[in-house]
Amino acid sequence: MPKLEQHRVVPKLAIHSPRTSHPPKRQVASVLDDAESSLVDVIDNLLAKGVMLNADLILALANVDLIYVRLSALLCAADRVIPPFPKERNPRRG
Amino acid sequence: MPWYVFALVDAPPAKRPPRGLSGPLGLRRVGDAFAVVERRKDVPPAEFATLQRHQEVVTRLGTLVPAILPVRFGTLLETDALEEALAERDEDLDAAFAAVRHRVQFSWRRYQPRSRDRRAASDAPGDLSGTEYLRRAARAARPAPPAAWRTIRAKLRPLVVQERYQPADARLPDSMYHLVERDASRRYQTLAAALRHANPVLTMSGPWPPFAFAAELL
Repeated sequence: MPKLEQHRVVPKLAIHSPRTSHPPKRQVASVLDDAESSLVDVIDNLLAKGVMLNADLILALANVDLIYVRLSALLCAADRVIPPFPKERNPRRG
Repeated sequence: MPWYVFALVDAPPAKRPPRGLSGPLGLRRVGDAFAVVERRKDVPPAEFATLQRHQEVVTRLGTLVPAILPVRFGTLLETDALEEALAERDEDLDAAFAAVRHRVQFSWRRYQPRSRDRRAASDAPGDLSGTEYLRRAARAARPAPPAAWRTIRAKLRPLVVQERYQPADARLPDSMYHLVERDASRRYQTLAAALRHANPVLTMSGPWPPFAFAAELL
């Protein structure tokens, strides 16, 4: 008597890594959460127009304060102080 | 003790403002405007964490007021100096607030090889005629966006109120700034996301307070 081979239907095993089980981020969010761009943004938003420096300078002789200078200076590239576009054109109007 | 100034705003924040760098924020009335300030004896260090916190404070403030003018990092002023700096500048303030009211900024960056920049920079002024030198200086003062920005500008133009372009330099990549009505920012982001993914050399971030469009009044 021929041997009957038994076949069992094995259910498909879906293997997911834990990472892929999270719902995918929306595309807009993935653009905005770019960590690399955050450094560039911080530099551009806060430092591109320069920084204010404040200092107190006291010139003294033999422990006697003679001259007091209070410094408040703007440190930045010259091209960033002068507004590049004095009168902006509205791009809607072409 | 002096005031560390984060921004000028046209109205008190609608909700409780965030904390500053190390203490609570306060409001100083200056003419028709308000300065958002924190008591500090010295300028905070220009470290990444501090800069990031400063940016977060200004960004959060921007969502709580109709118009905000971010102030340069490190601005530390006594009360009299603050009032003096803005005295009789109501018209300037009004114009500056009107330009950014209910508007937000989006920043685009285009990363590209620097070889072309180096070639342009190697043209020493001594090699040029006076006329050509002045022509180049005039072009540099009002740079026109190169053709690579054409698609972005054309697709987003209906939503853009104002635009600024900043060519790449040693500090930053090629950058384009768009000022957009706050109400239109979701539509802008949806369009921008599609454009960004079609062009891998571009990045976009925002919405930000109008850092690139705010008049420097302090």
